[in-house]
Amino acid sequence: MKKSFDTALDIYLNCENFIRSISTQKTVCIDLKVNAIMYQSAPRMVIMVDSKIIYNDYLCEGENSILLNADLLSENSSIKIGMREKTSQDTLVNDEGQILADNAIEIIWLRLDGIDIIQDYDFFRTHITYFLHDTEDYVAPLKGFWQNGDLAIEFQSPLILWYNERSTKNTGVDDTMKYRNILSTKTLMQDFFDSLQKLRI
Amino acid sequence: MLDIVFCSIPYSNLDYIYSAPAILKGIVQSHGFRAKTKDFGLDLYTLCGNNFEKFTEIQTYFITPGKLLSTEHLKILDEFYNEICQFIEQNPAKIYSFSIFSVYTHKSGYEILQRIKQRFPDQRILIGGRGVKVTAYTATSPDLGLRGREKLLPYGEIIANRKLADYVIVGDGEDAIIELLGTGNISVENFQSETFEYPLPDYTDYQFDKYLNYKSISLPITGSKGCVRDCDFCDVRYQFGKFRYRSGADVANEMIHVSKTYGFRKFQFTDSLVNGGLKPLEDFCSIVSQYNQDNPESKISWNGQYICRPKEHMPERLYSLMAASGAHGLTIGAESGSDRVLEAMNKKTTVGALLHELEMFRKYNITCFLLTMTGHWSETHEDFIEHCQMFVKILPYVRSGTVSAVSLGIPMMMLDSTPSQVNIDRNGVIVSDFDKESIWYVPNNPINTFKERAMRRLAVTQLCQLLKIPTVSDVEYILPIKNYVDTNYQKINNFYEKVI
Repeated sequence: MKKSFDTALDIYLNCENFIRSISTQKTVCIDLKVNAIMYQSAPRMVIMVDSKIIYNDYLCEGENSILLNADLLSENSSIKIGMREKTSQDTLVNDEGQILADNAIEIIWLRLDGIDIIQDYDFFRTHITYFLHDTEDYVAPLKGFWQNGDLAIEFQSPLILWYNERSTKNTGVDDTMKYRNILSTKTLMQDFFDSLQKLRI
Repeated sequence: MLDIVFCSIPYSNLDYIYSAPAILKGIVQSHGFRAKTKDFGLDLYTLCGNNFEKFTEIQTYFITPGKLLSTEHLKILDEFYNEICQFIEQNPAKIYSFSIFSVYTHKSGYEILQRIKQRFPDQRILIGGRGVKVTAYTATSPDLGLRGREKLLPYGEIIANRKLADYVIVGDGEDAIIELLGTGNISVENFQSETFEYPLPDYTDYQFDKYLNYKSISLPITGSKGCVRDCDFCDVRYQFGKFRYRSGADVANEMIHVSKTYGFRKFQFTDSLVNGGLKPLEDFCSIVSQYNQDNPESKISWNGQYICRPKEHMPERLYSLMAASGAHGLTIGAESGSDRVLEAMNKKTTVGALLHELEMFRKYNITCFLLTMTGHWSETHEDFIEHCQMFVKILPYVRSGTVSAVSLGIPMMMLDSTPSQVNIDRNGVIVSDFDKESIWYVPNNPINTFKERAMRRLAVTQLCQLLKIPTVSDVEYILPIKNYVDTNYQKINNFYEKVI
């Protein structure tokens, strides 16, 4: 049942539902900056949202910026970014097995609705999947592509809340900023709430 | 004999070093006068046996009406006042100057000056600082025994009328003190020029190692006074007059000199805003970033208050320069998540501009801290919902660490002499007789009662907890409001029942 939030009291008492009500999402903004490394041919990049291809093109050598807005088709969504069409001809190896030239895509940043996915290391490691096409294997996520593969995130919209629940970055203040706090905020909030009941209007 | 001693008195934050005495000492010395500085707050802490709880208890006495101290604490306080007198005896000076830094210094200032004038009736006393211009702190006025019209007078006038100070400097002290030391009179009240310069400050009397966490302390520095804005909830325009600034080179030179002389690498601007003038900011950042590049082992860093400007005002190169000069932890008054409320506040900015600033800060690795408030007189329920949405919008910047924490502030108070208080008629605000700052009502925004404002504060606290947004000073903000409600709920109820 949809709740209404007509006063601050309603918001306070049903805050979780309120947060969901103000965070609805229909589209996702993908802001991707990559560095394309090229040997024989340009690397090809594919971006999919909910299995629908929204970007499929060859990259220029050097930095490429891609900014896309895509519709989210359901509450359970996925975003997939990958490299395609790399062949053995795209890698130059010397007799010692050292790579002299290659095709690759390095991710400089990947921001989904403003969230810097790559910079949140713990989140990136635990909530991003990375699939290699050649070996058909999931491996630890990498910040780029040196083989054909897909980096994917499966989430429940709104993405910002889904991410926020899982991220552990910057969730508290340093103890030096709290030393004067002799009371627990939780207890105080309840006491404050009780005191406010004395006010009639 | 010294010409003047510049004294700081409690209420004292011992994790903060006040620069004003050092600046004033530097100024008077550059005019050939002999001066000394003294922080009596440190002496009180020493008398408490460096016990922070004891110290806090006594300091609470200075800001809580009718608070009684235990015999032990009273003894410490008596000893403290005697030590001040002993200091005066041992360091004779033509003038003793006391900084009334804020309303929190009203009661201690009053008691200290009484003791000094009793003991040394001929000692010339000067008071100055932001606290002299405002009416005596409501919370301490009963302890000062204020009667009738006195309650409406600025603190400085009360002290002068009671012959506890010979001179009161309202506004900036620099010119007035030089005039006083030279001629024995004060006629200058304020600088009129747009710019000002300081000689190098003199910190030689400071006992830096006695401050709490002194190794991580940021030394204050002043680059400007006043503000380019005139936000309706803020009294900076009233306190400081028009915006005035030092040149970027002057500020950078002071910073580099103090860093080399005293070993401090971290600085905190006392300015109401560090980006009031973009030219001086750019000059300052250029010099300090060059210094940082040349001195990688002793890099300078700085923080301060910063205003959010419209996107087109701040060239991107300035963010890069700010970062290279060591900018971090800038405090931004975001205030509201509603553009309509920001306009009513006269903030001259928008939520979009804030998000752009945060994007730039993230790009150049500059961290910041946001100040917000609830219950502006213009804030409707729809505005409040937009305010809550702002916390969701800033989440990417909170998680990235660009926004290190948020202050949720107190429900709006229409402070004395601020545009919101001056314009109550124009804005259609009805204020209560017993507390015109906190208890008021706007008939065309009827939901915004004190109870609703306080509840909004509670709701955003809950919201930030659920969103895992670090907040600071919740206890310090909420506890006094709770106590206020417990003490005054009948008066508050009577007011609203009468006006609605």
